[in-house]
Amino acid sequence: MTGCVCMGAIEANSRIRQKLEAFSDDMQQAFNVAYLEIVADVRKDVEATYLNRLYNNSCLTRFSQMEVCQDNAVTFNNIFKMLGECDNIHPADTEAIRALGLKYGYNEEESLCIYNMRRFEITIDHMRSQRTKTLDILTGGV
Amino acid sequence: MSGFNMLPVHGRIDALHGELEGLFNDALKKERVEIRADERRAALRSLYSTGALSTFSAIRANQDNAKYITRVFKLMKAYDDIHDRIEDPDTMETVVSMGKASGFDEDESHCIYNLSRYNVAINNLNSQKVIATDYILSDA
Repeated sequence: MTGCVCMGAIEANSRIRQKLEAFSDDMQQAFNVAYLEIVADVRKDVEATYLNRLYNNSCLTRFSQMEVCQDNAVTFNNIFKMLGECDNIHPADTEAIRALGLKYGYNEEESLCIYNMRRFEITIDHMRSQRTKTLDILTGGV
Repeated sequence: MSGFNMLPVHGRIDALHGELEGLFNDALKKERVEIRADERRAALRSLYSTGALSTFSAIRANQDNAKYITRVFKLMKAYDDIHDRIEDPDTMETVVSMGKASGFDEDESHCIYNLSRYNVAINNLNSQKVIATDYILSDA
């Protein structure tokens, strides 16, 4: 009888071990699937937030659609004053950009956008200056 | 009913459950921080796209790159049509594929897209500069 119980216990233990191993594999797989799904969701969310900040509900969109009126004329004019003072600031120096914006009454997002506008304006102006030359080259004028 | 006392087994299963959940959440927490940092870097890269913006800022037209410069302006114009589609999560992929179709890599495409977006804002502000001055002078 005692031998019987021991054999039964050993058998039960072995089955429990097998179950635990299968459970471990199962858990690992479930973990990987859930993990990848959540990571993909988080990535999508964060990406959407940044796109939103950069383009949709951004100062850039506001500045693209802004219409000047009596109430915002001074604020509007300050954009040009700030644009004129951005050239000596390095893009990585966000503190200086923020401080300059604050001086003209802009928050951090607005300040960074105005700074970016200046950076891109320089590039656009430069590209335009080369455009005529390009057309001359393409039409054989040079 | 079993003659065994199953309470210790249940206790261990509960503890394991809690521990696994903790490990899972810890891993996700780290991943979230990394993803945020990654996306921030990607956003900044797409804005300043180090190589492309510097290249465009310093480019000098010559026989070899004349067509390339012309293609930049053509793509800038083409991007004007998709500015209002940016809410669509696939738009950035469209930006890249349109750039690719014109012979630009991802970095260049992002940069040209930004040139196009900022160009609209700059043009709008410039178009109203005189009106703003008028308002200010009339108030003075």
